[in-house]
Amino acid sequence: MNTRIEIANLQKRYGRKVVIQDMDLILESGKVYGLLGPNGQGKTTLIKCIAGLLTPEKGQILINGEMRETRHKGMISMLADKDLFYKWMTVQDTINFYDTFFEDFDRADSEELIRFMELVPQEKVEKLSKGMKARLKLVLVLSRKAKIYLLDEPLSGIDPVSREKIVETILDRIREDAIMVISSHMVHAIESLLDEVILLSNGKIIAKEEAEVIRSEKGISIDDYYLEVFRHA
Amino acid sequence: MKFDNNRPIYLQIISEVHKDLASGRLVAGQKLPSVRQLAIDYKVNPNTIQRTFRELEGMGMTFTKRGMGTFITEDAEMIEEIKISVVEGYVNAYIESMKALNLSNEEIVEIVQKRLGGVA
Repeated sequence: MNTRIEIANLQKRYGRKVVIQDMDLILESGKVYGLLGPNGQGKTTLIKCIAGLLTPEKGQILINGEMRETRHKGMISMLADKDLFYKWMTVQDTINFYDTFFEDFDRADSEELIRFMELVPQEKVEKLSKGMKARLKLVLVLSRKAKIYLLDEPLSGIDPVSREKIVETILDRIREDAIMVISSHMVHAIESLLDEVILLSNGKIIAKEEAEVIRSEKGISIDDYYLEVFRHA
Repeated sequence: MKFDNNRPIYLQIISEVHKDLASGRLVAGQKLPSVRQLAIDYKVNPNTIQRTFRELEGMGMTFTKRGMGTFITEDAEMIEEIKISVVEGYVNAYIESMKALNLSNEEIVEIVQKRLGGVA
């Protein structure tokens, strides 16, 4: 079944500061969206609103035509910038934890991903390098067969080898019945993954364009397009 | 494979297919890998491969058999034309860069002959 997110007239403030302003956005399954923009433009806030971790002051988020509610959480798999592990956990413990917590967790797939990512099940999470920790987080998030994947900065501060592994894994898990949103300011690394590019500036969408349209009509890469837009923003 | 991010990726994959036809790596009637497989091989979004398949089919270079996959055309004449155009493309690009260096036709021919003689 297809999935569709409709965001209308969304507004989110932190105190007086408006972080998301009158935003309209439609996201459809089978597509990979790049949510791009410099830091502090509202990328994470938007993702958290979709995930239900933040409540907007105005506007609505519809998932398959219904108002977003708690029960929709089961459809959403999110990669957050924060670590959610206990210190005593091993890689295997995190897998078990996810497996008991989420109905849509695919254990066989998680084992395959653990191997591909060269993670050691007995290793303490605490001891993992930043790159290996990022790999583990992605394994957990993508092992869920969710309808909506929200990946917030999956590549920031990650070494090139881990980056390549992460991109390859995301690529391999793109499904026709799922929506994938990847936020990043490392445009170059995710270019070939993206169907559509959403540029965010000051809590507003300043451009939404198909990746191949940017390349064919402007004759530039998404990376260059991003620079062109934000250099003058 | 590394793509030039300044040009549409599906067009670059189409020229890869053209090259494979010219070199004989792909032949008439041959089955192409699945969309998923190609997406992984080329490290691009499956929708980009789908777009490539649509374009190839639109150009008559491939056809789809229901439930069986996508195949290279059986039209030998068309494949021959593609081969010629690929080769011509390279030759033209070469001649253009030699002309830019102010070499005459005779000099270009001479260099190529000498070089090929040396290689053989």
